[in-house]
Amino acid sequence: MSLLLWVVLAVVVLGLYLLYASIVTKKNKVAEALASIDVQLTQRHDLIPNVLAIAKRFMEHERGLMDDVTALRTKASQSVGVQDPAQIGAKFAAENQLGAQFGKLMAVAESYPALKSDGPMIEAQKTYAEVETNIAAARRFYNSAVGELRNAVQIFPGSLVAGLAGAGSPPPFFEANADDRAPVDAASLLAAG
Amino acid sequence: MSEAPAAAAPDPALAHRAELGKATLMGALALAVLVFVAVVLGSFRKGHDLGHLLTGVFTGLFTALLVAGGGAWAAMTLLAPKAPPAPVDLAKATELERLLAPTLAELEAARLGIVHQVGLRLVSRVPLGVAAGVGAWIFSQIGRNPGTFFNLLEFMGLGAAIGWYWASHQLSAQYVRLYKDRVLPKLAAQFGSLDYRQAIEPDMSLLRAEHIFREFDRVVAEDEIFGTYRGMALNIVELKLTYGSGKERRTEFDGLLTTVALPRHLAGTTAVIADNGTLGNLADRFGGEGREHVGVEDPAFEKAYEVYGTDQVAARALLTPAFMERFLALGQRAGFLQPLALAQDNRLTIALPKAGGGDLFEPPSYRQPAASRQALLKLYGDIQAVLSAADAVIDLDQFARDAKPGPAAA
Repeated sequence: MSLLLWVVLAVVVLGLYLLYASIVTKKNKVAEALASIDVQLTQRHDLIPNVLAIAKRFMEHERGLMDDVTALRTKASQSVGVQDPAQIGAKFAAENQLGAQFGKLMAVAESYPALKSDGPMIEAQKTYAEVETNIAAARRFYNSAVGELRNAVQIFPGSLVAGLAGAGSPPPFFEANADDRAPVDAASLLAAG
Repeated sequence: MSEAPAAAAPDPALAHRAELGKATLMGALALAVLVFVAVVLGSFRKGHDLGHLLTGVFTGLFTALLVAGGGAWAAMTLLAPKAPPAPVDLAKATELERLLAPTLAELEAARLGIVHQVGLRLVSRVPLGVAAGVGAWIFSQIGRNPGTFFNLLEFMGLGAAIGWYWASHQLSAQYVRLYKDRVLPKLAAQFGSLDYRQAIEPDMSLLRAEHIFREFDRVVAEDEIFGTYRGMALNIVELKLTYGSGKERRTEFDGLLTTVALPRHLAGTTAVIADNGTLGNLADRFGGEGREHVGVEDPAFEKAYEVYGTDQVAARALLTPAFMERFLALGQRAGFLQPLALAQDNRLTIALPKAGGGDLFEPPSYRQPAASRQALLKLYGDIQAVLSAADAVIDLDQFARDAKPGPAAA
């Protein structure tokens, strides 16, 4: 009887260890995904000064927008590398703001024919599209990793060992801007065109 | 009050075919009865016992069924509605004929030469085959079960067929090769900077390692269209992969292997392979070296495929929601089945299985005139269909999609 008890105990301990190991693996995957986002965001940050340098020559009237982008870039750069779950929300918000303003700048650039046909600007637009695609892909990777971690720590018995594995409060999902989630108003776009 | 629609007048051709079909069926049934009776009587004449009678009955029934089945098939063929012939694009046919006139004249001369050579070979090789058949039958007389007169006819027929194949096969294959090499490059060039060649066997090592194709031991790469299309390097190979031999041989893949050089770099390797069931997927997850399973958000895509990649971000940068939607739609195009994909660096390879088998780019036989409008239009249509599939492959990727539409789309 006592042998059976030992066997059951061993199975339970082994099970809990495997669960612990699985949660730690998933937590590390989230950290990897977060680092992937940082890699892509750094590329965006590196691209911005180049685009601004090209745009300055043609877009003097958009000085306010360009200054906004510069300020937001400086602010967002400070949160690159942040892994603390409590600060991740603020980091995403800063990047969302920067992304929105930078996207606006690139859209406004479309209405300057000389800038639009400028060789370096064409190259910058291509890089911008690639960087934004990679940022979106990295965010999807992050959300997938966070989803798996949350499932693991919130479903019993994962909740028992989550604290021990340092995953008691999992990081938030990345959520797109409210503007980006809003349905596209095709009528206004067509009217503008 | 609405009037009832007037009944359509019966089509005389259809009525004639129906009569003919009915007569064929009745004739086949009568012949089947006759065959049954003849076989039973013949068997009973060999030996007047129950064993011979039963043998006759069963053999007669089987033979009669074959005859009746053949008659029913012929009757159904007569009755089946005939699809209207495909409309011939006269303007295109005339244009192609004009473009290829010197080549077709040259091919016609070559064809006539081949017809002459085949004729000369038939004169000697068919009798040789028949003689070999007779020899085999005579040899069979020595054994314990000597062949009958019917067997002699069988041996002679088989010998004649072998002789005919021996006389014509090699020359026919030479003509097919010549026709393809002369005509298809000119037709491919009609679609831009494209060319045709006898396919060079693609490097299958990565496709095998990434489990795009699971089991194959024979690779047949027949035709290849290559060049620059919509500003990108494009390569399309008609590929067939089989596994096993003899009756055990099965086809792993029969379709198009399309490779496009995308206008962007993708890190690592991404493989989109068919879902292989729970156990098969488990084996796949541990099978590849340095790759991880990539979970995607599209439930329909996740159900149909398993995605593996060496870089999670690069895999998702390729598999955008639009890519996945278009990829699923690609498998629902007429003439194709569920596609598979492999991406490495900037090379996107899509394996697109053909739905109906059937070879593409098949020229007319040496027994038909080289300058055939239908043949030219069929080859042109084959290239157009293949490039239309290539357009769908290119349109999968958001960066490649921005390239100008291809001429096949026109």
